[in-house]
Amino acid sequence: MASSTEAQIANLLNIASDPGSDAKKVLESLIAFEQLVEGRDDLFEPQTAAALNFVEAANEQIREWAVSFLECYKRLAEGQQAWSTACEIKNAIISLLANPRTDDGVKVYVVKYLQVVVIVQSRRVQDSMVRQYEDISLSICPPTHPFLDPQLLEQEAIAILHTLLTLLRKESNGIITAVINCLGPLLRARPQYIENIINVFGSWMRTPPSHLNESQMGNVEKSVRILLMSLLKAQPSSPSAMQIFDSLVAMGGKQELAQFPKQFRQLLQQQNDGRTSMKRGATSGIPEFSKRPRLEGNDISNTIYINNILFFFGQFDVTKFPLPLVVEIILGTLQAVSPGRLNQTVLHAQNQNSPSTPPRSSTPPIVNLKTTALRRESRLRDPRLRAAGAAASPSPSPPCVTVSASTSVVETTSIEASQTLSTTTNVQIVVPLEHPKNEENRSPLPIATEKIDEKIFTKIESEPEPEPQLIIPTESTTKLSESILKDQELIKQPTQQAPILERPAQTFKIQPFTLPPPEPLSFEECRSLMKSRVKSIFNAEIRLPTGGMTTKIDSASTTVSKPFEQSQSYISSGMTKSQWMMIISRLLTRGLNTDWDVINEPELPSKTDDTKSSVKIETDVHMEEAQGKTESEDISSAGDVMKIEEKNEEKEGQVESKEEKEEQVESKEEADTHDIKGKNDELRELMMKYILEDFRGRMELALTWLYEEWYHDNIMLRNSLSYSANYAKWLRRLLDTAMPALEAKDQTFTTFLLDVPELPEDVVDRVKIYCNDPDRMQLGFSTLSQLIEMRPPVRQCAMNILLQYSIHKDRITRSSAIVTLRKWWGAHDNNQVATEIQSFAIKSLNELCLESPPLPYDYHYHLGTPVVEQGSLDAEAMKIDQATPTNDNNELARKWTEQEITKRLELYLALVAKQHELLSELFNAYKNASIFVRKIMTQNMIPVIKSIGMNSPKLLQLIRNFPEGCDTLALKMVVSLTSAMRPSPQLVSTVKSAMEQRNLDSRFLIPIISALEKNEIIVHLPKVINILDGTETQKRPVKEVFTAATGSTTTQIPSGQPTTAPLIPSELLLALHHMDGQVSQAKLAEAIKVCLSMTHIFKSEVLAVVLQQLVDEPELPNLIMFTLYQSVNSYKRLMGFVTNLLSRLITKKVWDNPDLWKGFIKCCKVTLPNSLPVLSQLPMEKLQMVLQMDPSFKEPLKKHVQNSWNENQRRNRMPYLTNLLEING
Amino acid sequence: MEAHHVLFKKGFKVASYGTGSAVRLPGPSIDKPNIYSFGTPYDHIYQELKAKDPKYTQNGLLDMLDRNRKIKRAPERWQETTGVFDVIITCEERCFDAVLEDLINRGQERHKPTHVINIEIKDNHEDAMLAGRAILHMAQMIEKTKDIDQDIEKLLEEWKEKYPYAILHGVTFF
Repeated sequence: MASSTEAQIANLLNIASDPGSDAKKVLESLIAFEQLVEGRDDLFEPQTAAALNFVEAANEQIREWAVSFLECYKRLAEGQQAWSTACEIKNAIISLLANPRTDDGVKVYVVKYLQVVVIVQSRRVQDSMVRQYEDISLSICPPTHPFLDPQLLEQEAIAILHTLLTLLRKESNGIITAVINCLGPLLRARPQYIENIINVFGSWMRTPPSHLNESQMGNVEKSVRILLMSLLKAQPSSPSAMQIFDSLVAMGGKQELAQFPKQFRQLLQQQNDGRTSMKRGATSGIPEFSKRPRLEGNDISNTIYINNILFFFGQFDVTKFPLPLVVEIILGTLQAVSPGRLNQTVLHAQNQNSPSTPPRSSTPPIVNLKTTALRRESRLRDPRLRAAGAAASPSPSPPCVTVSASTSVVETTSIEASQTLSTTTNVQIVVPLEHPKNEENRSPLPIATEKIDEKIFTKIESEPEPEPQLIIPTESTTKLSESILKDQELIKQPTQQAPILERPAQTFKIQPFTLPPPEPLSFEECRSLMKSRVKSIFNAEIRLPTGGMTTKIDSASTTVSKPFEQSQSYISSGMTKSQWMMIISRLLTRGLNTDWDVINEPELPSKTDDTKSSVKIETDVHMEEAQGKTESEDISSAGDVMKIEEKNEEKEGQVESKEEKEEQVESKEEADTHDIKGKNDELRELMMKYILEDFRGRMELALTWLYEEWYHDNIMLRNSLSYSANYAKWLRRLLDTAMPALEAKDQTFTTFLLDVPELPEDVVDRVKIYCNDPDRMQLGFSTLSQLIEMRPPVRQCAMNILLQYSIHKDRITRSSAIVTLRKWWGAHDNNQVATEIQSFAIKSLNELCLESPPLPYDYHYHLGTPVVEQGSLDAEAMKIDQATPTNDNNELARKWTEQEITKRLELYLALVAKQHELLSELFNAYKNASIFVRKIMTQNMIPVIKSIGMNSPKLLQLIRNFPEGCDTLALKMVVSLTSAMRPSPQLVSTVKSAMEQRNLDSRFLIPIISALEKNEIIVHLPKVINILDGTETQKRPVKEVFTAATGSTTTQIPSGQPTTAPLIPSELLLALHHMDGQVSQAKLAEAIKVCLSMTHIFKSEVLAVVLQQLVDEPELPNLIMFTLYQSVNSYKRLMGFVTNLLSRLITKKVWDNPDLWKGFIKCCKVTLPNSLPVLSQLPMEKLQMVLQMDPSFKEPLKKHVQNSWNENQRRNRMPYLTNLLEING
Repeated sequence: MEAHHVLFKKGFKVASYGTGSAVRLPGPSIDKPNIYSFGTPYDHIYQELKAKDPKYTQNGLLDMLDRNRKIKRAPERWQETTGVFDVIITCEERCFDAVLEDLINRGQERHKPTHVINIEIKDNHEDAMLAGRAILHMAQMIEKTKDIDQDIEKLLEEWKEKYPYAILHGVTFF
């Protein structure tokens, strides 16, 4: 088998050197092989216990390989040959990298191979993240190995690592990422290279290779970031963590804030806030080694520091030397020094170190100790310290010898105390000597320290479990204590676990009792102290981060057992604003109440018990305060508050039991209470002032505070009835001061009122102040409206105010309120609110029916006790009052005025516009109202009715069925509906049917007449004419009817629509003439007169047509002469035409009708002298009649006959004419 | 899953994983996702969401689940898998980071190189469809190469010219 393996290896080697297609597979197996070859060396060191462990723990596969190599090894002369084969392969592979023919695919494998080589050929250190039994490293190779030289191999590994890193500068993107990614496991196994590699990355980033394009650069940077992040996450507390963190930040890892482990997130926030005092090289890329924070004055760390420098500047590492050698050198050196000088140096070193001993009783130093210890520990990782420890030699690093007393870490006490099993008694003895200041016998301090220690232990325990390891007791105590600290395995040993876990619990309970009793302070001192404390809490606000609410939960989950984190988080503003607000609010409400109560209580008869408890409570209060300030612990402070509350309640129980006694001192108590209130108020006053400095910005604080007050009030009131509540009082005070200062557009006020826990009515009443202010009226109303909507308990109250404003005398105020109210229609389903508004509107409408207006609402907010409504008067009324201060003046002031009426109408009308059903209410009110009120009502109603329009079914129904006595209102409605619009068919039919059914007067016809048919008009016309009574007022509607009927109105013509007038003017006029009999002649004559007066409609042409037709009619209408007469009077140019008509009338024997005959003569008279020929045509008797009736015709006629008639004519008619006219021959 | 679906149909040997702590599906609002643990069968999720609110049909969630349940039984989590893959394609930078980090954490003991490629895709149906095709094309291109380790750079450049997606690429090891 061995030979075949050997042959196989040779074969593989051949293939490997040929960068052909199969090379990758070969490399793959070689990688595994390499691991094996390396590991195998140790398999054959039976004397090494660690190696033995390895064999036992090795997994199945490795064991299999191991067995086969065991045989192989036996034959190959102590394995040397196999090793040299492996070396050959290794070299061949490394040379592949330099070979230009090697393609990327192979190189990827080479990279991986080299990664394994580096891991195997380097030392395992303490914080290596690979499980020990899986880790094949130089550490398991004994220094006395026959043919392996660990130092040489390690140097080679470092060289290979450098080779790998040089690839970063010349290879392709794929290879570079492969290198970076394979560094991950490498660095986890070998963290000692982290610093070096991070530096390489840093310089790479600063001067990136030119052959990569942008996206490839991005890929590489991305890989680096992921690598660093994974390292950071894997070991957030490792010594290199800070460096990793810094370079991550430098690489822009800040964006991935969420990825960082928690403590680094905080650090990052700190940096972002610019509040960190540590100036890191974040901007300059990778921080300088020397800049890293170190534990000063500690020799060990200095040593490590030096070691590191050596490591970086020449790979010279003193720890790499075999321990015996180092010991020998040191011993040799020391022998050369005189004993006196040696002692002196030792003493000196001890003296120097002792002052640097950290104080041990307080918490913060422990933090330092822990972290520094961990840091130190990681450098002190040479495994040989333990492995070679059996040699009982002094430490290889000389300074360590002197350190002993310096690292008096508190932890050691308890660790060592619990160490008995694993460590020697030696150590235990050393402890008290080492820590002379640890006065274990003095109480109670040691208890406290011990407890703190244990806290840390529990923390350490929670970290990942390391392996059990042997500790050699002979090492210097310092080192031992350190290694104990780091090698948590010791703590973990099961035998010690139980007691350690138990003790913290016990000590936690008794913690508060260890505080020394506080000095009792005088009342005044307490007061000023509290005041200054409260002030300083206020001042802390600026240091808080904004947006505290969101982080509240996070910070609340931090546990109490991390004192150092809390103190840190205060500095880094880990405390959120909400916590701050909670603390200050609770302090003022519950905390302080207790405090003052307590101070007051000693005045009670039974003093002793109370005084005692008062002291305790006081302590708690102070503690709470302190905690609040330093810890930002919501939970803990809340817990304390609870505690106080409990005590409070207890106390109250006591108080109650002493009721009788209290009664005796009641009067005194009252005075005292007043006093206390005053003092409480002092601090609350501070709070208020602070809030008012920036009411908008601190509203949240105000709310938090008020909530606390309210809550506290409720608790207190439950227990004692005499308790005077703070909440309402301070809410009022706050509002009184804040309100005048707020801007008109500021919604803060509204939000504030919406958010406070409870709203007393008088607080709602305060909104009036805004409602009365013209600038802030909107704010007032919107606040009220939101209160109505969002705060049902004050809905009634707010609603009442808002409603009253809807009948305010000032029009602008009123309409604002109405607009606010009106939104509940349509947009809201809030029926309750809507109903209420509706009933109020109707109520105020109905008030119009009262004899005099009711007393006005009190629109003013009155400081102090709310005033009863009825008791006060409107400002205006008051003024009148003052002017004429008699009793009757109230009555005088409360007469209905237009304003009084209008203001009560407007809300209703606004509602009616949206809800037509309410219209009937208007009729009801109208019916009962006085005439003056009716008039104003009607006036105001018109625009609303217009906006409702004539298609509203409710309106139509009401017009049809309006109650008795409301004719005018209904008519006015119809009129206003039609004033600008042509009436709709529905309206027309409604009015028509109403007229028919209820025998309404013809005024109703007027609005709709233009929409009627010709016949209908003619039918209804007599009714219209009938209203004429010779007065101008009645003429007007008739004129309107005529205008409408003839379609001549200018208003009614809708654009683009041809006028379709039901009647043409001549038809109307003819109709009038035919109405004789239905209407009295006088009225008809008046109607005709009206027509003729409307000269724009009844033009002369129209008259001509009408007259012509009338004359042509078989039976002459009675009024024809009247019309003729009127026409010729109006239009002189009709003279000729009329004369013609007159002569035609002669043919129609006009004289048969006496009326007509009279008219005829009248007309003739008017038309003189044109009518003379007509007259001359009259038969003899008729002419005679005319002349008798009116002799004035005689002369003109005579002249006419003489001048115009020729001889012949004269002769024919002369006989009677000459006679008649007394013409001389 | 869309890519899984497409590749699966074309006969690739493919698996799909999530990298988060749980399966988060759109819920009634952005801050209230429906959360399921990995391993909950798609069918179960499908039935439950279907019963919960039929509006999930509108936003395509149910369709997606329906598709997924035909592909495999339940969502799997990357960090819990032991599979070894030649190429790992992620569709979000977060996943890319998670995969690389996880492979570092695994210790790279199998010495097997792998390519992690991130194709940044908007997480909605349309973009997933388009990207699914783009990923298929990439897979086909990879399939054609003689040696992916050698040709990947060229291949990605070529692919990038055709598609608008931003990509990240890294070589790491199992």
